[in-house]
Amino acid sequence: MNSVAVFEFLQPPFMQRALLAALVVGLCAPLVGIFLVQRRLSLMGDGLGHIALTGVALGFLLQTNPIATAVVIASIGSIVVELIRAYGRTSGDLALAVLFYGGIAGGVLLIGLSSKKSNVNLLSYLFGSLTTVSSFDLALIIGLAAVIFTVTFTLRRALFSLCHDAEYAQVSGVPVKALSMVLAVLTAVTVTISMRVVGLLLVSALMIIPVASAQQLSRSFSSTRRIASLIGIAGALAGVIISFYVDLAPGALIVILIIGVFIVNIGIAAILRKRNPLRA
Amino acid sequence: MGIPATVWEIVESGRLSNGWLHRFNSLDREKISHAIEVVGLKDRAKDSINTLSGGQYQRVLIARALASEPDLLFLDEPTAGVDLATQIVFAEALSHFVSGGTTIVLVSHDLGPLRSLVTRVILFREGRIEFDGSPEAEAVDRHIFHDHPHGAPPRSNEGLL
Repeated sequence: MNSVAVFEFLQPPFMQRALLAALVVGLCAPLVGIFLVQRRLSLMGDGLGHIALTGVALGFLLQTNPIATAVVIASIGSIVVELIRAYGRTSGDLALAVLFYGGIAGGVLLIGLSSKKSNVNLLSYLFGSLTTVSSFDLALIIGLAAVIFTVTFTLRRALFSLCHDAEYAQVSGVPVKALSMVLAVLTAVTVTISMRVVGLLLVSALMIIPVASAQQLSRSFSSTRRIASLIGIAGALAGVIISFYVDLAPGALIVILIIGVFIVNIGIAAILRKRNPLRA
Repeated sequence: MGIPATVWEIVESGRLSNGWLHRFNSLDREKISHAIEVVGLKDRAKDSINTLSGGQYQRVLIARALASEPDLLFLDEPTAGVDLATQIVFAEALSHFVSGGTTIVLVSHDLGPLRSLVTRVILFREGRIEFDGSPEAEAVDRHIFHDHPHGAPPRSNEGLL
C-alpha cells in the first residue's frame, strides 16, 4: 500500500473541510465543557442546542447561512437562560424547560414554513452533516473557534474561580454575573459550531464526555483541560476518517468513540487508584 | 467528585483580588508559594485537592485567603469541627496575616490555639454586649470555661467577638 492510498481520505475537498471542522470543534468543545462540568451545568449545551434549532430554521426561512442565524439565536437564548438562572427563583427550572422545548418546536414550525425539502436539512442539523460543510461554513467555524479558544484561555483563572467557588470569586472582585453570561454565550457559540460536526442532539456529548474522561486520569485542572481537548480532537478526527471508509454517520461515530475512551479511562483510573491511593 | 484541581490552582484564585484579569507574574507565584508553605502543604502543592482530608482542604482555603493579602478578614467559627493540628496551623497562618497588617474579626465560641492572637474581646449575651476589653480579663475565662450554655436558641446571639 503506498502513501497515496493510506491518505486517500485526504483527497476529496469535502473531506479536507470535514477534517478541519472536526479538528477545531474537537479542540474547542471541551475547553468550554470543562467549565460547565465544574459548575454542574453539563446539560446546558444540550438545552442551548434545542434553542439553536430555531436559529437554524430561521436561517432557512430567511435564506441566509443557518450557522450564522443559529449563533445569534442561541446566544440570545443563552443570555435569557442565564438571566433566569440568576434572577429566577423556584420556577427557574420550569422556565428553562419551556425555553428548551420551545426552541425545538419553534425550529420545526419555522422549517415547515420555509420549504418542502427541508426535512432532510433538519435531520442534517440534528445529527450532523460534516460532508456538506461549505467553505463559508468552515471559515465561520474556524473564526468562532478562534474566539472560543482566545476567550477561554485569557479568562481561564477567573472562569476557574467562578466555577470552583462563585462566592469567593465575587469577594475577590471577579464580575461573577458578567462572567457567567460570557460562559453562557461561549456555550451557545460552541453548540452552533459543533452542530455541523456531531449534530445538535449530540453536541453536549462533545463538550462533556472528553472532560469526564480526562478527569479520571489527571490531578490538575490544567492537565484535565489539555487531555480533554486531545481526546476531543482524536475522537472527532477518527470518527470522520472511519466514516469515510464505512458508511456511517460521523457524528454518532465520534460520540461512540469518545464514550469508549471514557470507559477505558475509568478502568485505568481504578487500577491506578489501587496501586497508589494518593492519586486522584 | 468535581474536576481535579491542585492545591496550587485553588490558591491561585486568591491572587485574582489584585485584578481579576491581570497577568500572573513572579510576585504572584511567590505569594502563592509562600501561602501554601505557611499552611504546611508545600509538599502537596501539586496534588489534587480530591486527595486531601477535610482539615487539609480547610488549610488550602486559608492559603487562598492568605495569598490575596486582605486588609480585613471576617472569620465565622473558622475552627469549628477542625482537628487540633489544623487549628494550630491555622493560628500560625493567622499570625502571618496579623503581622502583615491585616485586621481580623473573629466569631468563635472556643478560641483554642487562636487565643494568643486575640487583642480585644467582645462578649455577647442575649444580643447585648456583656464585656469589651482585654482577652486576659477574668470575665473571658468565666464565659469560656464555666458559664457557656450550648444549644441556646438562635435568637440569643451569644458569642465571642
